[in-house]
Amino acid sequence: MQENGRQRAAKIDRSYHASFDRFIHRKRWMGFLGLVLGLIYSAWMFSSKGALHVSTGDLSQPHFAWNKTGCEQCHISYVPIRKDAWSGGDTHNIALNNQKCNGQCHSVTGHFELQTKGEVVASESCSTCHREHLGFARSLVDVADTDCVRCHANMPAVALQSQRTKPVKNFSDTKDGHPAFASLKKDPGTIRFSHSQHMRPGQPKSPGGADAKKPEMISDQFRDRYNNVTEDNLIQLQCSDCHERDIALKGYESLESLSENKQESLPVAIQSSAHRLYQPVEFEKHCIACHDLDGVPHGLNLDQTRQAVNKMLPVETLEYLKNRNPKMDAEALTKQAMSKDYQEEIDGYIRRLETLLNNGTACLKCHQKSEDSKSIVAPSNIKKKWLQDASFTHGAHLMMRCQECHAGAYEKSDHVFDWEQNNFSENEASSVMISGIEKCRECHIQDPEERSRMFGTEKRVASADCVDCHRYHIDPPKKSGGEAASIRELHRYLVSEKTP
Amino acid sequence: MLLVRKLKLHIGSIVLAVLLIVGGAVWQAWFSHQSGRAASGSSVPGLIIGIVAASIILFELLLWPRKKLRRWKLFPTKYWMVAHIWLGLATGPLAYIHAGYRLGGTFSSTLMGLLFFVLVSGVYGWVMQIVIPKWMLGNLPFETIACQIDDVSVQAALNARRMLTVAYGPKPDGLMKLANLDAQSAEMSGTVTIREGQNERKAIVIGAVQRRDASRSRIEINTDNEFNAGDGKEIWKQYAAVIEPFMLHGVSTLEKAMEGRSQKNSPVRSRQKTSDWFALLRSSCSASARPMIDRLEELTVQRHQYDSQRRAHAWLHGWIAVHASASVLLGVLLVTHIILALKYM
Repeated sequence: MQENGRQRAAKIDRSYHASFDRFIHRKRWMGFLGLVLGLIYSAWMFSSKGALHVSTGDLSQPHFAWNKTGCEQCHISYVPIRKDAWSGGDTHNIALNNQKCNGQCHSVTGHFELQTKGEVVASESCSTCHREHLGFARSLVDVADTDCVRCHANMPAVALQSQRTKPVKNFSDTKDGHPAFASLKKDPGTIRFSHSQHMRPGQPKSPGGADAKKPEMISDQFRDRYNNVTEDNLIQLQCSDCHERDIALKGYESLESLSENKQESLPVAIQSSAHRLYQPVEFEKHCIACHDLDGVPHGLNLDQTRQAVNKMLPVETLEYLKNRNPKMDAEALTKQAMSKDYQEEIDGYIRRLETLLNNGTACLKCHQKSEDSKSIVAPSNIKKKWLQDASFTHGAHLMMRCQECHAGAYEKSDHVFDWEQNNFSENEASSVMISGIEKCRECHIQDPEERSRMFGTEKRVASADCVDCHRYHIDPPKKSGGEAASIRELHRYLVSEKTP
Repeated sequence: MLLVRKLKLHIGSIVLAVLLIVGGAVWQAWFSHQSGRAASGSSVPGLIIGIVAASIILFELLLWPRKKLRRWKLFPTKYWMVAHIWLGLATGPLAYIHAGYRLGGTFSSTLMGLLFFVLVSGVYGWVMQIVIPKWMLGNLPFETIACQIDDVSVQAALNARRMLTVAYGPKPDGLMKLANLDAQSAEMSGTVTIREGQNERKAIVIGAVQRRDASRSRIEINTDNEFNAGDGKEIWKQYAAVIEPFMLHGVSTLEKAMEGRSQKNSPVRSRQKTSDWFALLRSSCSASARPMIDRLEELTVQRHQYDSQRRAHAWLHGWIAVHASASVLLGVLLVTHIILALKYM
């Protein structure tokens, strides 16, 4: 027979709750253990080594050494460094924090101070755009688009006199997207040059013309350089014959030689940020093989040309006289060369030369006449860098053929340049043969997911971030020759500005 | 199920917790949108949400002092527990929102991990508190006060001895010696042994003392039965060798094993073996011994249930030590986090 509750209760010690309970006992001890552990860890946290545990990540490469030297290198105790922190937007706090960077280690101009509203300049802190604690490999100039858009979405709100009132929020072709490249609107150059003629085999004035050049028609010294010939033994120029890289990329010398028809594989994986632009075309290097000036130096003004010709003529005259009178000795030759009759002959040659210079059959074949009486020709104004506010890097685009972005230079044209009439086709010399932003957008797609899906590449490839092309802290802009400056360039610029 | 039954009790805290989480997330998202970058713990909403989360953690920790101050009657316990559960659960999402959905550095990651551990241990304990008592109610009819299991077992053993003595006479000589239960018996009957150094003396306690004297228990024996002396010898023998050691010590535990009283090889160490073993005992005795053997089997099963109860109690209360320890650690590190965050914000 089972016991009832009363019987069972009779067996229980009524003061059982005061008896030892191992669970309560354990709870107390474990609680105490938690307290002790917490205090030990907390005490350690306030040591210099412990402070590393507060860090949200390694500092970037320039500041990496400070990972172990303590937070106070950058942080001011109890002064918020983040602008969005409680009281972090206070201009006094921002100034205190900015002084930790600027003045102590860096010397950076502000935020377009001549063009930006004072209150906006005062409210910008370094750490807002240059985010730290994101790892060793993180570039501090890899500024998030959102930080650029903070101002560029509404320029009139921040700029004193903004000419760019259109909001720019992204790289897409939407109404808030990046505008067309302003610096590609017009070619300021004055050189009359026909790409289509020079890309024809033999470079004749008209396709199939009899004036097409063969290697034996140019001087021996240039034949190795222009050794690319067609089946008809006509010289076929390539991009690299005139356009040379600023930095040589070993092993990839012939990239610019790839023809549009050939299916050579391109080095997709190869990129080099060192190779940014192509060197300017030089007459003495790239043109002289065909456009011989009979020894007259190129690039001088009128007086300099005269002096050069004067120096050149006696030598040439002596050679001429020597050939005419092979038995005459040197003394007799010099005497004859210095004679009045012969000097008049020389003056006549110079006058003819001036006539040539002025009537367009010599310098003016390519150049335009100068309005300045001292110069023979107008400045060529060939741009060294087309994208003035951006830092385009050719080295990052080695996987593309030249014609993909410079299709105009390969345009097949039957147009014949009439030197007498001086007439160019529409796109011969004045057109900018650089594709616009639409071409960039084919690869540089704003949405990384879509981009990755489209090209099957990693998300960071061909990103469309502001900092992919633009840099900041140039004030006034274009002081450094239109270069979008890196911090190093900026530093050089600032040092040179301060140096008397 | 329990939640559904007590929804009225829980609903207030649930709504408050959800409001805090949703409100915090929306505010943080709005601030991020406005400022153009993901808001952090130091942003205005981040800081406020962090303060709310920290306040809740402080409130959670107040459960401990509240227990100490229960005489003050600070709201009924059920309200405290409901708020403890739901607001406590809200601290996880709130802390994550506060941190801008990031774990941050080693310290803040540790803190977040610790909070997660506290929440998981709390939820585990909550589930245990729902499941185990229900299981015990259905499966352990002999359930008693857990800390009294040893005392109740001693009383059961003494009762069994009395029962056998009445039925079959004193334990015959030559059988295994029974355990000496005098000390426990004296203590339960209100006679206290006071120890003073090496000397011991008996003392009488003045006042109302509860007597749990096994000799006062009621034993029902059908005197119509004719108890066979041969059965008596066999039953006493098995009682001394198997049944009583098991009744006193139960299934072997580490503690018992260390005391050299391990019952891991007992023939009645499991419910199935108990049934088989007692069936064998019945077959070796006459029919008149059956009621006695049934009663002894019942006492053995009772001990099995006590052992099950003990294990269930370990599941039911064992987590609290871990939960409390982690909570205290979290509380201390939270204070450190507040100081360091303000310093390097």
